[in-house]
Amino acid sequence: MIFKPSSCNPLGRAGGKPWVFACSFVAYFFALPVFCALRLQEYLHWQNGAESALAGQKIAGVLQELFGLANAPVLIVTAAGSLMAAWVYFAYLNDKKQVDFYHALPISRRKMFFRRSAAALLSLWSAYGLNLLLAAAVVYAMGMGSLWQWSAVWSGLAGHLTFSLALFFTAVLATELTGMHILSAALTLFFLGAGPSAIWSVRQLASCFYPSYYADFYNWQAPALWSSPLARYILAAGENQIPPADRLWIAGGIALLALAALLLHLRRPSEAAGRSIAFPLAEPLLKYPAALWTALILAMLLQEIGGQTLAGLPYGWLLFGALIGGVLACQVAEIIFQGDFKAGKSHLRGLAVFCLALVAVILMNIFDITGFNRFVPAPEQTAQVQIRFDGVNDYVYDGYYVTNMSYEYNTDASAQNIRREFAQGTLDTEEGIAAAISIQKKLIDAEQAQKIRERQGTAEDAAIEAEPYHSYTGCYLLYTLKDGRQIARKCVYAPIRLTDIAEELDVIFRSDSFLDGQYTLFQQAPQNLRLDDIASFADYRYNQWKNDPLFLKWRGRDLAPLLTAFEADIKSLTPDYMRQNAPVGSLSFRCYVQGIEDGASLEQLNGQTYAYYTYPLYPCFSQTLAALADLGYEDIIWQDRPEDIRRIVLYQTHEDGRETETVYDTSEEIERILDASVISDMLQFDPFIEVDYDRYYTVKHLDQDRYDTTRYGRLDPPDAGGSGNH
Amino acid sequence: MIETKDLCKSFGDLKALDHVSVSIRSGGVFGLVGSNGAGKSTFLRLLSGIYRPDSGSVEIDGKRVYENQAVKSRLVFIADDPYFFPNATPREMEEYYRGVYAAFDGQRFRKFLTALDLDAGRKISAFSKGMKKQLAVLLALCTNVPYLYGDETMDGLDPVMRRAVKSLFAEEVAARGLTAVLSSHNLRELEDICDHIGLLHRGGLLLAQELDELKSGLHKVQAVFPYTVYPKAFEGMQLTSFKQSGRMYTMIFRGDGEEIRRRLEEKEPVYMEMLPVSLEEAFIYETEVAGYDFQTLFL
Repeated sequence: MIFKPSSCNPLGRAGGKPWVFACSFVAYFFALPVFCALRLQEYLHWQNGAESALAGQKIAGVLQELFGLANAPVLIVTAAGSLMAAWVYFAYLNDKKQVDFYHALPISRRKMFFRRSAAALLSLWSAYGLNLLLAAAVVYAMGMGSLWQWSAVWSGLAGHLTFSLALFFTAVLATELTGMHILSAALTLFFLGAGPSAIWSVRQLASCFYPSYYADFYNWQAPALWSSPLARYILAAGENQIPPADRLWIAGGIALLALAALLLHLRRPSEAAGRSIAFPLAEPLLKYPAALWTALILAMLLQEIGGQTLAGLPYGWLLFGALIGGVLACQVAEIIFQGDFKAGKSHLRGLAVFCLALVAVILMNIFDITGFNRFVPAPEQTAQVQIRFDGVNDYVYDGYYVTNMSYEYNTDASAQNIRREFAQGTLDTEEGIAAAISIQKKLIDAEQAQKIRERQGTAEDAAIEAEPYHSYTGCYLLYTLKDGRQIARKCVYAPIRLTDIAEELDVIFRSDSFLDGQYTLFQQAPQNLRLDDIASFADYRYNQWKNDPLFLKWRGRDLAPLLTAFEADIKSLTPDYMRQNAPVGSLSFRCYVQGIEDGASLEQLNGQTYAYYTYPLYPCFSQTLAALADLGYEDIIWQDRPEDIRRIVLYQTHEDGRETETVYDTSEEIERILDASVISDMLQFDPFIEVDYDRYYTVKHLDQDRYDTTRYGRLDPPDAGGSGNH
Repeated sequence: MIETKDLCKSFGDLKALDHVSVSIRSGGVFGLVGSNGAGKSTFLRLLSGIYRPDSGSVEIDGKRVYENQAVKSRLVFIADDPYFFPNATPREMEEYYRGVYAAFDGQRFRKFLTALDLDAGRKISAFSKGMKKQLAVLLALCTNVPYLYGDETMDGLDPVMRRAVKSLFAEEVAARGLTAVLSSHNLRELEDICDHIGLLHRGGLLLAQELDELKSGLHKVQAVFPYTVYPKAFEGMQLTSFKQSGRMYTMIFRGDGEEIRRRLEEKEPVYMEMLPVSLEEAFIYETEVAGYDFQTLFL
């Protein structure tokens, strides 16, 4: 029998903590039965009315959430309760009188450990279990018993109890390592939070030191989550389950924690009660990781607040923050360990070594000793490259980088997440791989040259240069080597013009595998697609197309010919053509993730999750235009025509800040401006064309009902040879 | 029997016990005396299995104590500041002790409570320091275990209670062969009850001896001489202490009592009386032999 009435009786006076049970019960009462009642009260009459099936579904979902892992109040109570139970039941280790009492008794430490652990967990879990029953009674009393799902209940119960164990033993470990209550609590919170925050700060620092570090490629989330039972608990709650693949690992982790807690309990010297740290050997093991964590966090914070340089020293704030954080943490740790404010002086040698090591590591990273930033795989080593351009011909305007929006964006209606980026394409030919590597090398060289200019120049020189627009191009690269390794790099905001990598771009845009990655629309099943919008940038009527009954009728429309024509046209585009010619419109498609069943109404479709594709239309898309005509869309004006225009007004901001308006109303001037400018709507689709944003034109049409279009002068019009004059 | 061999215990840089070896026979009271910080409490906690020795051994009847439940079920420890459960009453503590110590005599405990006018249903937190100490002693005695350790047990007790506790210990020793190890910084307190004494100083055991043996061979004499005498007058006799107050001389000799009387009478004292030797006086002699100034050990 585990529990004798008079020794560690969990609910008795001698050794038990009845108030732990009482507080847990009250907390769980609000987290379960009360919360259940509040959430379900709106569905009280769910069986009345025609929507009862739908309401039943919703209630079942709510019940799954309430009784599963996703119940946030239960998570909070369980987490807090587990920590409190550990601190309370093992607090005796920090009290000299209690240690003398208990350790003199003929009760083995092993038995003491198991009894106290069992008593603590039973106090908490019995409170949870009783309230679970009360909550179930509430559900049945509200007439929703038929929607009860035992699987959700068991799953939630198992999940909460599992993480309760993990948190409990973490807190027990912390209590055994320290000899004071407040330090036990502090160390517990450190164990729970230090891992994710340290990993986050390392990730941020890596991005800071290594511009080519492609952070998103690396799954930092997993180590961050697994470094803290609390973080893992929160993730599992968000997913409302512990993934089956993780269950064994979690069980193993808990077993390790429990074993470590037991071993420490057996080895813990009784005289540690009242001391800061129970095990002298643990002092450096706690001090230096805490100092390193503090150094990382403070370095990141000061870098964020202070910027890249301190008194002209690059990464000055980072270095300063790291040193100050490390020194402070070491000194504070020594003061805590020794219980004496003068204690810091006695460990200066260790502190000096730590600081030197920290500075050395930071400097190694600042100066990229390993050559990480400059690394480019050899073409013969590379099996394929996945490349994604991030900002093609981006420009700096008023001190800010301006990224042109990609010409493909996906709207996931359920996630409300718009991806503003180019799609990723794969290059698996020798030519393509060589082109990607060549681009990376040029981008690296351009970045290095920029850094040298910044270092050699003044602070003003390092800022925006005299030329108003300076092209910046970047890309993300994922190399798959022939030996199976994957190497991810990014090169962003390299001051390079597209003409400098024109040859490479031409090779890349001729790669079928790359184009497949760019235009994923054409990999979707046609039956899941609907034509959502046809836009002509110049045609005032294009907005009307969205409301046209012909346009909205999706039944009977076979989009396959249009898609085939569109794919052929768009994949034949070359960078050179895109530099010379601007798109005149766009086509937008919806791709329904769940597919479309025959007979589904528009309203039902609107409720579904879908991806949204918008691709540009160029004047050369003859096949596409023909297919659109076949669908009945032929009366579209694709470009501004001089004969339709009354006048064009130029609005210009000068270097001295003056703004002027100039009116052009002769046909020659109008024609000239139309030739040397592009309509503004095209900018989000074709980043190869550079424009002058300080000069924009408003086109006033003869048709008074027609809205004005906006145009920008091209910096590099096709007939000007790059003069930029217009 | 309790036996320690080369027992060492340190707390950081502080050496609390340094190679302490002692044998304490069963069925008696061993008094452990020493100044503050001598290591008495540490020694008792090692005997109780609370502390793990850094080196050396602590054994009871040939079995090590630390983490040995069988051995620990035969001993009980009374701390200098005893612990009771929060908001507990003597009755509840009795219940707990009964669960831990199989031979706990509840009836006897309740009888003691009544005799000492301690309310079994009253919260211990409301007791005075002395009452708490009394309760702790009673709980320990009623466990009926063969070994009892008390750290500054008499501290906080009134003179009447001290006498009562001493007589209880004596009864237990006589009735069931209890072996008690009691620590104190007060020699006089232990004199009445102990039959074996040990002196700790700075972690080391200066001496450990039977009280009778300690006192045996020591004789205290008070005499009045008609003339002035000096210590050299007693050459050939082992004079360990010589004090003069006017014509009254108080001397301590080592040796055969009759021989000492005979040789003193040869000096024709006006008055002479043989007095009992106190423990303190015996200690003074023994420590001086060991090269220590006894007075400085306790100042």
